[in-house]
Amino acid sequence: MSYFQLMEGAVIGLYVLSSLFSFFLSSRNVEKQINRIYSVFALLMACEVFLQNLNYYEVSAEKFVFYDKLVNSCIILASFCFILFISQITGYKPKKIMAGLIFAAGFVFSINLLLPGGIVYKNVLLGSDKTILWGEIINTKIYETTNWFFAAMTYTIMVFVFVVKALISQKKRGESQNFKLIMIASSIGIGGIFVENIMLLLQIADLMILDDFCFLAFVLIISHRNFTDVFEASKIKSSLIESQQGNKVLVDSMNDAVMLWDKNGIIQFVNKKFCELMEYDYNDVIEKPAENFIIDNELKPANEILRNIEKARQVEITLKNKSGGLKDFLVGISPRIDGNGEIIGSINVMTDISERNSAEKSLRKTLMNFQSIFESSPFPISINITKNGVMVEVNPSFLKFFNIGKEHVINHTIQSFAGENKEEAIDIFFKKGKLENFITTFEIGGVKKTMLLNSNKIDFNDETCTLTVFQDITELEETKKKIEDANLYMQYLIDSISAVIISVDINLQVKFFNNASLQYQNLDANNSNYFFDKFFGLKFIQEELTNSISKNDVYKQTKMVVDSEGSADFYEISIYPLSKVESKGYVIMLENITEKKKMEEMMIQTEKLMSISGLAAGMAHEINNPLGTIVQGCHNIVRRTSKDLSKNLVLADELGINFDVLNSYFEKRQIYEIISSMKNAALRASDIIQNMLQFSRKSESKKQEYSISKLIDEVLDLANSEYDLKKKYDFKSITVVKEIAEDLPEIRITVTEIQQVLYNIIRNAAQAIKQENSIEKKPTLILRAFQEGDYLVIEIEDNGPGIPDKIKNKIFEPFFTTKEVGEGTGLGLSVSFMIIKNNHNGILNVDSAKNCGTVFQIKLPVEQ
Amino acid sequence: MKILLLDDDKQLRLNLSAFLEDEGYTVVNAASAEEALQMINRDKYKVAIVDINLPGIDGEEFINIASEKTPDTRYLIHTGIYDYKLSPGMKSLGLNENDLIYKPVIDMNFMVEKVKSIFENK
Repeated sequence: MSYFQLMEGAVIGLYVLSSLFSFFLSSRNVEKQINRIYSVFALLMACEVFLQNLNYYEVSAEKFVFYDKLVNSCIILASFCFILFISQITGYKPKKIMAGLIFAAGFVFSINLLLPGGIVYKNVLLGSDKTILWGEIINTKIYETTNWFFAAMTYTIMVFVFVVKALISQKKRGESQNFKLIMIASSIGIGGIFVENIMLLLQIADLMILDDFCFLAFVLIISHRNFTDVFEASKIKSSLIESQQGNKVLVDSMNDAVMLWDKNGIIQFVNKKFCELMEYDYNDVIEKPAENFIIDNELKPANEILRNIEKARQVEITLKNKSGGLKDFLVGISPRIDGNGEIIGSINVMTDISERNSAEKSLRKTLMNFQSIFESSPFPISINITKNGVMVEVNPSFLKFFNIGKEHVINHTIQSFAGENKEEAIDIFFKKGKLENFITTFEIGGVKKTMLLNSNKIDFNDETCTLTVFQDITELEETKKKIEDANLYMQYLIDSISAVIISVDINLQVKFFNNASLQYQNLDANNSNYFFDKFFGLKFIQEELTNSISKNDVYKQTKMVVDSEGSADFYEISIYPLSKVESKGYVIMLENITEKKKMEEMMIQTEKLMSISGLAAGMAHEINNPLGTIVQGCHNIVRRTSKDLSKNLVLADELGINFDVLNSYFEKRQIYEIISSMKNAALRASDIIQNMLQFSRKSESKKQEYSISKLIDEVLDLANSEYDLKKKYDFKSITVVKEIAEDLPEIRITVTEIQQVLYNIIRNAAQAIKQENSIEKKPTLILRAFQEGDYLVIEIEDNGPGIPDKIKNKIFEPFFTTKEVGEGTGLGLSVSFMIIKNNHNGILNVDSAKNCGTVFQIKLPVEQ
Repeated sequence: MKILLLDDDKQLRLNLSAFLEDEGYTVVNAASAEEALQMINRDKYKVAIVDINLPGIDGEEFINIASEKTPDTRYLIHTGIYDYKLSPGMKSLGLNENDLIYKPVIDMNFMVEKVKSIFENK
């Protein structure tokens, strides 16, 4: 055995092994076709190498040609297998090319058989022995090739071109995993044959074994590929078992039902979800025809669904579950293909759409409801296209409310039927498409209606529309307005009350208060709403409030409050528990009645004086005559006893009376003094009558515009000129201070009366000052005049002893006097009071404190 | 120098006529207008002092009637009505504010002056 033979034997062995290996694989269903073809191919190649080997040692030319013919036949058959093999691996199966190639192979094969020297040899001469590689000695052959040899070469090139094209097409399809491998293998294999034959043809060298080695490389590479495939196939198989279990878990846990059926529609597998939805056990379903569960539908016959599984698709089917309920499914049907690419059934992933379907149903129902609401709504509803305001639908209430036919609304804008009422609002709500409680007015049949509009965007007939609900709130608005009015009216009413009105809840939190309360408000209360914090100034009613709360009863009382300066204020306090209204609490009413009380006193005073005045008028007439008689009688007595009257002397002579003696008797007996006192008494009575008459004297006609400052000057002049004979007062010793405001208006008064009043008061003041014997105090009289609101105020202030509290209330009483009898009539101030109050609609006040002097205040209205 | 004094108050007549007589005048008293009218018929008076409030015919009426009979007589109204004002009728007869004397006449010289001026103006 030579090295060469050993090598050739190894090559043959490897071919055979490769063939067997592939055959074995094909029997294991791994790339069955490919491996079968390859198995034949490798076997043919083994034969070829064996026959060629025989040829190397052959000495008979005839036998050499015979063997070579067989070799070439093997190669052609192998090439045919190779073509099929490449076609299978790459999936490149163009029929025409294949046919061409088979034809070419058949042609070359036939020629090879028919020609006596095969397709290669025309003439063969055996030469001498030749030593080749490894010192092997073989026979050299001298030959001449046939012309057909080129046809064989062309065929080889065709095969090579086919392989290249097949690989390129495979690569174009993106399946490049075998590309390099096959390319290299084919290039080496075919390239080896090609190179050896070229060298043979050109008689450069006879390598003989090159093609074998080249094809061996091809075989090894392909075997390696097939081996790897087997290895991977076993790996795939084990992972398939794993994944089948994993898949089951996965499939079972899927939210969709999964059902597998074979191509005859027999159920092979269902997942848990399927069982759950259909209420069947796994075994109830398996191996049963799927047809049993599918509800036939004219549009989708169950048969069609079950059979038509070549292509993946989606269908909706309805299944009946165990309890007879119907379930809608959206089924994704995908074909299941076995290793040979044959469809063996389908896998069906089924999504339960029953709920979706029922949702659709309820949507339809909702739409129906909407329709009925729209139609029967008592509120007018319109739907218009948002962008242009054109009406597309209105309900019957709308037509009724606007009193318009539907044909005048649809396809019109609202402006066209709202008449003159081109409110901006219309634009707003149609263009914007969304309104919330928008209030506007429509004029419908000459009546203004207040409307509340609510609108929103909706999709209507695939267009963005505005749905507007109209609500006639005219009456509501009117009522609201009336209530607001009433509230406002109440507020004004309560605010116009001068009394403090505050309402509090049971925790004394302030709920309401009127304007009059503001003066008692504590601005530093830090937002506290507690009654005594907020109205700190009303702390003095704490006791009353506590009292009322404890008794839960109406409380009403007048309270005197003395402030730190000692001046007293009177308050009328009323507390009403709010027990009958929902929000319980108290209403506190409080009124400062100090002024009112003063006024009341003044009224009483006036009343008193008025009654006197009525009496005085009657009395005056009746008393004047007797008074006149007394006075005149006294006058007559004095005259008729006087020496001065000649008649007296004549008569005395006649009667023999000594007139001088009579006179001295009268004097001694104080007759004249008595008569004088009688006269004085009568005169005083007359004075009183005169004063009393002032109470009722109407002085209207004498009123004139007069300057108060001028009047004050006149009175002061008068007072200065009157010097009391009895030295009761000396006006000149009193310091008079005048504080008269400038630009005082002239006011309408009865000059003599006001003069009289001023004079009365000034004289009283002067007399009061005189009573004060203190040396330290300089007797002072201050006269002020100023304007205060609608009043012109005259104040006469002295620094005399003041008016004692106990007589303060009496000074305006008629016939009240502190002066000695005969000195004053007691009517001065009461007359003054009447003049100011009755004749001038003014106010005469006095303010006095012991040892602090007295202030008289005359208030005269500026305009009468 | 005759004066007619018409007043229903006897005391007043007594005192007033006494005073006027002391002044040298002749005073004839009448207690009522009716009485005074009779006196006018009998005699002529330069001055008549007339009270207004009288029983029966009142002072103003009396002046109206009397002035027709004796147009030369001058009248002084002497009244206790403190707010008495001359009526237009009185004014048309030529009476004015100076002819008004309110009671009580405290100083009778005041009345005498009025009477005297009438006589002197003659």
